[in-house]
Amino acid sequence: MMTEKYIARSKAIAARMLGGEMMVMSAADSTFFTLNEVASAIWQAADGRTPLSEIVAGKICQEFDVDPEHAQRGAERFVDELSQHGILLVSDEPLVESSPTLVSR
Amino acid sequence: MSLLAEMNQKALTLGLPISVHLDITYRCNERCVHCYLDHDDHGEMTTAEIVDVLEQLADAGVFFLSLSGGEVLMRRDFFEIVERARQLLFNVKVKTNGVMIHEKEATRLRQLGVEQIQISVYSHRPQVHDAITKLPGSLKRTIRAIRFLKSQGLKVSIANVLMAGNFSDQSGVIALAKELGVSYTLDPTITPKMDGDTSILALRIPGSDLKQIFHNRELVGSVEEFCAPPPAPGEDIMEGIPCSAGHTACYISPYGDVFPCVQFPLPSGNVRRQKFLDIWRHSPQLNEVRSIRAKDLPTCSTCAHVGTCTRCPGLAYMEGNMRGPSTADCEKSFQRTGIPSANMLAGAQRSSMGQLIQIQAAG
Repeated sequence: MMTEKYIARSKAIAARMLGGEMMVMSAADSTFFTLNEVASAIWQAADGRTPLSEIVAGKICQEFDVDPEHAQRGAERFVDELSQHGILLVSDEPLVESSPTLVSR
Repeated sequence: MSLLAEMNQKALTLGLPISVHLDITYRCNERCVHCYLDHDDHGEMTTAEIVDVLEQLADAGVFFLSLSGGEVLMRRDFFEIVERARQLLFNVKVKTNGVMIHEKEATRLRQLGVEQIQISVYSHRPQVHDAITKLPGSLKRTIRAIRFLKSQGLKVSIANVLMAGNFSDQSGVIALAKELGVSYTLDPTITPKMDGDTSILALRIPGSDLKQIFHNRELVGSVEEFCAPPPAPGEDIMEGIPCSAGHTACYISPYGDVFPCVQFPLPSGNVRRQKFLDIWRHSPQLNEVRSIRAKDLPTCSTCAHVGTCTRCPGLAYMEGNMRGPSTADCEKSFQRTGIPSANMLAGAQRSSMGQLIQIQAAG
């Protein structure tokens, strides 16, 4: 059985939505990312409590009309890359304390 | 194009303020000889007012937030302000003299995820630095702060304002920055005081010193490239904007006044009376600044340096005309390339005309 992944936004980031894309910068290494709509949706849903598979199935596949297997693979690659820069925290258990509250703007 | 440049271009296209410099106080524990501020408190914004402004800035799309002063730590609510700014996910840079930063403050700045701390250092020698800040022991305390901040893994940058009185210590400050493991930036710009008093401009380094800086490989990289004669300007240059002031950036004072830039004191609104976005979008002053293109500058559009000059519209404004030349930047272009600016040539002509008139009058 596949282990669930829980993802949370790191507190050590700066982020802002700019013209439909999320701009994210890691305070740790000043790496700068722009996230497309799908990646922005995953990032915004990264509350530390919802499993990645549920984010993909319940949000990404519903909102963006992509096939679940393809979406799950893409999401895992995205999560791996952002976690390497400390932008997302990943665990096989819920990360309730980690995600900063996103101000809805 | 880097992602950051793309982001700036996008903000420009969308008309968004991506970068804001917010001075949270003009009070300071130092009395630097070149400082342009009035350090008395004339009614700074309260914590609640600043938090409200931060929320408005986040709404408006601001990503880069510089918190400065005065000395930011003179405010007892400084960390409350930074905490809220970080909750709103700004990329926060703090400008400070570091004198009030100890281990506890450095730890807090790291915990809050501040991107960078910029600290002013004028010399590696206490007798020179402390004579500029007029605070005995300030260099020792500033260096101690840098060490605390570095030990927390924070990014620190030394800002070295160059004046006639500390110019010869510049290499010493560079060596100090290397020893401390921090980056170094120099700034030869001295601006008039807020009340228009220009007496501190006498502290500016002379042109010959500017030339020395611009021809220092360690500072500018390739001297041949940096000091190359300006290429002939094309249409894109003439349609270009001078800088980000009012386009993707602005400045807010501790009293809520909004200006195009900290160095461009054109009052454009006040966040105590209007919403920030209303000022940003509808201020006649900001819209006037935005309307200016290089081709609209009467003297500078005819200048060989028009495409490469660092012309500051704020300094030009302080000289009396935001469409006019900034003589400090004319001097920089001249010292960099050896080619006089159009304004310098016109000045020489005016000067010789003046002499002729005098001779006629005497006759």
